[in-house]
Amino acid sequence: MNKIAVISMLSLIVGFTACSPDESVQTGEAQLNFKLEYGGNPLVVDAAYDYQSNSVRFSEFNFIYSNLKLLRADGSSVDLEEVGYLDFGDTNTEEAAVNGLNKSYVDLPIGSYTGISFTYGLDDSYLDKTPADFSTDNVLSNAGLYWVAWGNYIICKLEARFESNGDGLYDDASFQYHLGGDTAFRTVTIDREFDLITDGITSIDLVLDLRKILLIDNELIDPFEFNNTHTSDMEWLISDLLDNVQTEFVAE
Amino acid sequence: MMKRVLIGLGIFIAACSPDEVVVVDGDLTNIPYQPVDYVIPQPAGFPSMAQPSDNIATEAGVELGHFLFFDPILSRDSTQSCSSCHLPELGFTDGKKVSTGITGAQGFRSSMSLVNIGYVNSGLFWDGRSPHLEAQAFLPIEDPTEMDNTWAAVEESLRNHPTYPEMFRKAFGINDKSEITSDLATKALAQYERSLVSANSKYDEVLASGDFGVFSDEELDGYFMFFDIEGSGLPDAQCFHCHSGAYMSVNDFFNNGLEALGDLTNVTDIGLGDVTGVFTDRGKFRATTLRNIELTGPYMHDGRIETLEEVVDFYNDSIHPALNLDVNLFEGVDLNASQRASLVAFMKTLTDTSYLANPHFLSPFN
Repeated sequence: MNKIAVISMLSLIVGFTACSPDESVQTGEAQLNFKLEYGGNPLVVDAAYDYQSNSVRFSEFNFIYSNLKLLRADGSSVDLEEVGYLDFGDTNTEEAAVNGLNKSYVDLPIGSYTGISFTYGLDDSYLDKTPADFSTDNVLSNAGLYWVAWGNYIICKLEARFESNGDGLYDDASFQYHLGGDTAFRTVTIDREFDLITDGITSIDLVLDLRKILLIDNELIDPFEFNNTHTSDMEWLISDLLDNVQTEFVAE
Repeated sequence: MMKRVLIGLGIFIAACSPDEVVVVDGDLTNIPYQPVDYVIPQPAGFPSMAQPSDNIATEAGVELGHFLFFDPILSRDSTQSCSSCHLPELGFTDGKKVSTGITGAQGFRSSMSLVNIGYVNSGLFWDGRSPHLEAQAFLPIEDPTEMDNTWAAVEESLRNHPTYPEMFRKAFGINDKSEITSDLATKALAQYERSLVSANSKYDEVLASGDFGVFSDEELDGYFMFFDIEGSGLPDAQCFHCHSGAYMSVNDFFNNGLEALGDLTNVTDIGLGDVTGVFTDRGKFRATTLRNIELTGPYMHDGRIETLEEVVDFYNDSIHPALNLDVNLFEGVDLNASQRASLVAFMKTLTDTSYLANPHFLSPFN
């Protein structure tokens, strides 16, 4: 074999290697912006909003999610994150509230997608897990997110204080809706067509309006009547709140 | 003035003047550097402890931190060590409302417990101003109300010490004692602090065995109220919102109603708010661990409450309103005298003094 033939064969090998299927996959980046609203406006933590005839300040809203994925028209999906946690406690300025909490995911296959899906909470594969099963750098090791009395994770905390007597202290009522229990998870599917491209970031806002979450039978929950969800007789409220979350996430 | 430098056989001789010769022997490369990972204990019921990737504990690093922790060399006049305010026999606190530094100056917050401190994964200090143990260890040395030293002076003392250069070499592989820095010293201290794991309380026995019969009736009632166990017929003491898990703290910051802070415009000790700059964080402080709480009085960030019984009394009937009072305390706590005693009895099951028999927790200089 002469030199030219050898060089030609080497060139072919190099050429085939460079075009192997694994390396030809083109990838892009998606940014999901989780945002809270109240009555259609950005929700600023600890700012005052109207609530029935009272004024409300939301002091805490956080939740655990899992199985976050992008959906394709053919029924396939691309996994983004197994377990995540969003704490809106720092969205305490108008700017922070408008920006929301941003999560970036890179090296995703480019192409067309039809939606986003995640479990609000932890599915039943986590029922027997406790913080001791995780490392301290994992959010699931957080004792504040675990309900000893029920033996479950608290997958969402929504807390607020109310003003009704005009003294400005917002201590006339409160609610602490801590959502947990064996069935405290919902699959959220958000329809939204979008493309992931190689050059650029595809940014999608996922918006949740807390006022809509707090509507039961078209009435805002009365904090003077129902101020927490710590007992089993309040499981109906946990379930109703989760049902609302499941349907009220929208992509913008 | 002309300087002459002679180098030979690892000896560095600098002649600054004919009658002024400084001999510096900084080479440490003849000392073996063979790091061995330190195995941090993993008690039942605890998460596994994450370590920073740039400061994984080693046997030599922990040993160095052990010596540094108990050595007054860190303070300006060599009279105080870390252990001066963190005494092992008091759950690594000092039993005082606030600590006193080498000058006699007093700080304005109470010494915090260090047993199991490696499980804290959010801001350290009462106000959360240090993101991790390495950063925390940096501050007391130069605080005028604590050790009142400078890191430059500490580094010099350590470099000129008869044994520390070798220990730094074994811990971090430095080649010359001039490489001893505050960064490495605080890393060693952090490694040692992460090794302070102990879980041999009665509560731990229950966690490990699942046998609640280990508790007395009074302690069990306290447990029921502490964690608001449904069906016990006992009231909710609201404790678990801030104190839960193996570490008995949720690693977060709260206004627990110690003072009537009103609309938060007049707050004497701003606490977390001073760190974050967030208005509604004013007057919030870390929910400390309740492990060894029996030993770590006086209580609260400023040591204002002397006894555990008085702490429970405070939560029972003295919570003050404020714009950022934790919402879980809005309804108050309504325990009778017997129930309050049960709650205290349960908290005393968190006492673990077994570590006092372990030399690792005690001064290596004794």
